[in-house]
Amino acid sequence: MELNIQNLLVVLSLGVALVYLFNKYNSKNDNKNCSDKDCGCQ
Amino acid sequence: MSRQIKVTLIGNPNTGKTSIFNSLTGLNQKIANYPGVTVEKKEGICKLDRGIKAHIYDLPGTYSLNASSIDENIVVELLLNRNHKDYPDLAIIVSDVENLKRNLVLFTQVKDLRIPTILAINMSDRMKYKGIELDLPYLEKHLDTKIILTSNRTNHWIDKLKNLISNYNKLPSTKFIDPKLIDPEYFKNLQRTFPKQELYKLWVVICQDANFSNVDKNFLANSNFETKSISELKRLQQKETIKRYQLINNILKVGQKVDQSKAIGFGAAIDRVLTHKIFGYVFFFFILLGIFQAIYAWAIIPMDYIDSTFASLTEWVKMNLPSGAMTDLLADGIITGIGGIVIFIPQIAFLFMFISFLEESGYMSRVVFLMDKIMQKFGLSGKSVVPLISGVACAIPAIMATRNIESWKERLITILVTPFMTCSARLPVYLIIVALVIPNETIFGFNYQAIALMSLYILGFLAAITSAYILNMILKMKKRSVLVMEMPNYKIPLIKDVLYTIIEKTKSFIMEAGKIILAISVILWFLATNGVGDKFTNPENHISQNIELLSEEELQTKIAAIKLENSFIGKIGKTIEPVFKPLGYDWKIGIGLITSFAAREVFVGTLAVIYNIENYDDSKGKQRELKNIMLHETDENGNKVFTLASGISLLLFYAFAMQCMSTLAIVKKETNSWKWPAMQFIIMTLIAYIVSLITFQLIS
Repeated sequence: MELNIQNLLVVLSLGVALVYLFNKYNSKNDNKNCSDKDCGCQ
Repeated sequence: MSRQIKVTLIGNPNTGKTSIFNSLTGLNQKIANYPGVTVEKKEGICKLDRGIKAHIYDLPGTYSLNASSIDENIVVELLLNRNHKDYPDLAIIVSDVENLKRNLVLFTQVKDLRIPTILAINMSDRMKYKGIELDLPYLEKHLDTKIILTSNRTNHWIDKLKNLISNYNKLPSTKFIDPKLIDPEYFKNLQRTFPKQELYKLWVVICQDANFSNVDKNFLANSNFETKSISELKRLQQKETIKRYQLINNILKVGQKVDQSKAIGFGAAIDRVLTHKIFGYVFFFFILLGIFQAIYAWAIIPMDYIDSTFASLTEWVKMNLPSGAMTDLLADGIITGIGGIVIFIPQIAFLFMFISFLEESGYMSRVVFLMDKIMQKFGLSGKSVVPLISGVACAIPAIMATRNIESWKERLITILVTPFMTCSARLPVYLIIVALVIPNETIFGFNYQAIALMSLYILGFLAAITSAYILNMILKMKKRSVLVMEMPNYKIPLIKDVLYTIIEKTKSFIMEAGKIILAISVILWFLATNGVGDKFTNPENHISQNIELLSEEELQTKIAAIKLENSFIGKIGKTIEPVFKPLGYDWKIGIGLITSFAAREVFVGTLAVIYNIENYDDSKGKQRELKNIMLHETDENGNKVFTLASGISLLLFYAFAMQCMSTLAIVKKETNSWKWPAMQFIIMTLIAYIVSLITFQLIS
């Protein structure tokens, strides 16, 4: 892959996609309002 | 700077809270989930006089402050916690004019929490049909509140309600009953132990022991107050309810006149047909047929338009932007990815249009009554029927449609089993494989291929029902023991409310699941268009035929096939070939399986690229061309790749596997956790693998 602006933008977009999914996957759910331990919020 | 106030709309289910919310906020609303749970939190802005800005919250329906479900618990937790960021300055209690007595129980409970209240008596347009007359000054005086008659058929009340909200600080916040009337000794003791606390609030907090909630009760443990057993608390709760009804009855005896002779109603007559043990099912069958027709056939028209628009946009980008990796990503990754999200909108819109009509009209409650007994045997709700049937068109809107199932366990089981239903994206895969491996012959006048296709649909349904039955036994969760429900009156749905529902559902799909789908699309695009090694960077050098004899189109098709084979996805396909070999698949099918994770139908397009079909476009001619190539495809030993054994194995793999990133994204959104989509993906893939393995090994 050559180093040019288009390739740089692609790498950046890929990075954003990966970081977004990583954050989404690792996002902690605030369970203080969980009333049923099985409600998928633990 | 404008003054901001917080207003909550509270009321029994089916009292028309959402209509009042829509009238006050218009499209100035946002929908989110309450933290940690998938109960919708609706918040909107309403601008009032003197620059006051009211934040309106539409709380889930509740019958009382004795919570018995996640939805009701949210209301109780909010009203008990003065430090909650959404704690109301004012509560509007929305009541149904035809069920005023029952609705006033909740009103009096909220009033006893010393929150300023307005009583909105909704559906007031029905008073004349039901022979109801209200003495508003008397009711206002004895309930010590401001009352407003509202109706979703008129608008004249909106300004009056806004005016009352603006002057909320003039509203009385007096108690309705003295808790000491319920059990003098117990409440005096409670007051002595906590002299600074509101007595009724203390009581509601203590009662949660006997209810559903888990509000903070540490202060009780740290005191020397001896509370009562759960059964005794329940008895006191009943006593409180009876006391409230007595007082409400006394007020309504004077404040409300009902002349049954003037009442006009067809509800009972309609119910006799719609809940009839034969006609009820027949009618429901036709309703389902209508829904199915809409999301399967009608939605295709706008979907095709969206598809061609995005295809044109892709072409335009490729033609007009400077060539390069980013242009390719924009055209084939981002625009195609967005297209893959937008294309679901027509199906979501049609499904929610129907669901909204069914709910608003009051028919949905009859569906639950009709279907619940059958569905409960499989751990499902009567309301699970609509998502399951909709899943035959597409699992995305179907899973979104599970929101109206109150029991979390029933809702989760419906979410988990819906992807087994044969969705329309499986059809292109089924059609090509069935045509390839199942003989085009007849038995007793029935075509084998048609029988195979029908069997796959039945298999999907059986898989869903069986999994539901098993999940019902495995999942250890609270489950409702009996069905207690209210049959709301029949109403003509308001177009405005139906439109709000459609907009809200579509927006939430795009903003939540859409982003995940787009992110995965970008990653899949990168893996399919990038690779390492000479075969990937200089594919022209690896074409076995004489390049000069090939046309430009033939050359480009061959280059695309070599590049895909040597891309990261191609390498992954080859790496995992040993895993799929026992199922009868080669690396080419392996690549198809990976790319079809974006959408199942992509499998056919991927095979078209691998098998060098020029400009594959799903036309009959191209499909025939692809089928012929697949028919003669052989492995390195000269054995046919697509045989009856490998074909059926592949069909079963697609029948059971969770090959759809969009479905996983929507399951994540609806369960508020990655745990369930991850489990769903692993278990469905394992089932698919084992079934396909056994089938291939047995047939071959």
